Amino acid sequence: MTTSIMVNNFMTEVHQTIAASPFSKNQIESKINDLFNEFCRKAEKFSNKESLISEATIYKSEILNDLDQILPFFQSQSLPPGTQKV
Amino acid sequence: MKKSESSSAASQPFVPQIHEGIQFEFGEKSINQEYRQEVMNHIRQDLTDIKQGFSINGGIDSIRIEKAGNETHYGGKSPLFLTINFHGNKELKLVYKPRSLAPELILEQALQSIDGRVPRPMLDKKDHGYDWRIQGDHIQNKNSGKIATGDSFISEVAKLCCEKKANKNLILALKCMGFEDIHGENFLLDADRMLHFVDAEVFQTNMSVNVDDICSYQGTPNTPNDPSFPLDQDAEDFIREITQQAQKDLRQIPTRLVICSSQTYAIPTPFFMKDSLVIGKCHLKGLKRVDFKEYHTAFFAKFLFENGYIDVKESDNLETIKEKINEIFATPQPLGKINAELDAVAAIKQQNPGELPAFRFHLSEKWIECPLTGERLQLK
Repeated sequence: MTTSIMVNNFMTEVHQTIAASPFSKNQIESKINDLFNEFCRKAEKFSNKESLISEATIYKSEILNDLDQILPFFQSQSLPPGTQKV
Repeated sequence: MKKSESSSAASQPFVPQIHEGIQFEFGEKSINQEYRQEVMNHIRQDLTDIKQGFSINGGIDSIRIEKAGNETHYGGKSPLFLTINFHGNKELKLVYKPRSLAPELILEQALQSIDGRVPRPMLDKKDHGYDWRIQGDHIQNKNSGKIATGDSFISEVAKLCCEKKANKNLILALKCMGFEDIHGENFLLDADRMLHFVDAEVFQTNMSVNVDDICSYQGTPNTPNDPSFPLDQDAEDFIREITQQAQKDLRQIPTRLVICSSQTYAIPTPFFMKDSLVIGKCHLKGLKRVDFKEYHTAFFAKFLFENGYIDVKESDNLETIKEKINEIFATPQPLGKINAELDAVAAIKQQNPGELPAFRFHLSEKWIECPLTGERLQLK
């Protein structure tokens, strides 16, 4: 189970979007979906695109499902943005 | 490695400190006193070998020391940039690493056997070492000017691999030898557009980031500025063959084991953790709701499974997997010892936010070392 450079980067972008975002839940959902669509567009350039998209899809779904829990946490605490490595 | 030569904070105030006749100048106060003392002692003891190893003579005017990254391991230790000023305005620029340079040495020797390049000078002192400081910079994102990540990093590497066979050889060597922790901060690009891999401490764990995405990159058709990675099965077969001994040599030294992500460790909430983890046919779910250490246990189990130490069935859950982990270790209570190391890291992290766990794993001798607690877990 090595981690993909592309998926790792997608996760980091999602972290940074949420951690730095002053936006509402709907706006954050929209931004995460935009990031995911951008990821899928980029994944077209890879011969392993199916596995990249599959892994990113699972991660996106998990984050969106938990957004109600995540957002109050961020409203109450200041956190560093996601780091570069997994 | 976080910072390149060109981006180092040269304007920071340097604090002189005379240590046994040598003037050390520390550029940043965040290097803790204990680590400073250790580094100064090492340098003083190693000076003769440093001069010999890097072919430089003469007396020393001063040694300037700067941090080379924010991430620390083993209690506040990070790589350091050393600038040793000799009499007569001679200067030696090195990177001090608080660990053995054996992996880098093996990689450099392998690269020499592949295409005859001159290996980067290094001095390995087993628990620390001195690496030649590459005069270059990280690959940058052309739009943001920041260190390239994701597809921006990959497309630039693919382009560099098309430009120079040596760069392609490097990526294929990293693939064949199983090097991991592949990201922009661990590569430097020199003035001749040669890529260098400067942090080789993670390898063959099947847990961290590898070069697969680079080798899978297809670029944009009919766009010379966005070429695909130059796949070359003959070259890959040759490199796999010629690095066989090097691959075995890597199994005779410890690697850093990344059980869990620095992201999830850096942010102490369950919200960025993966909720599910597939270990063979077993789908562990609800991981965000378990204790933080249990979450690491799941990833530890994944590591043990991926490397063939435990068998996991579809019907297993975290509790049954924990029992299996206990059975494969000769050392009692292995998970308790892993968790104690995580606690020790967490304690340091309160004062030093950059601290991350750095378990060491020996692939042949099959032990896992917990550096802070000093525990060693022996697999049966």
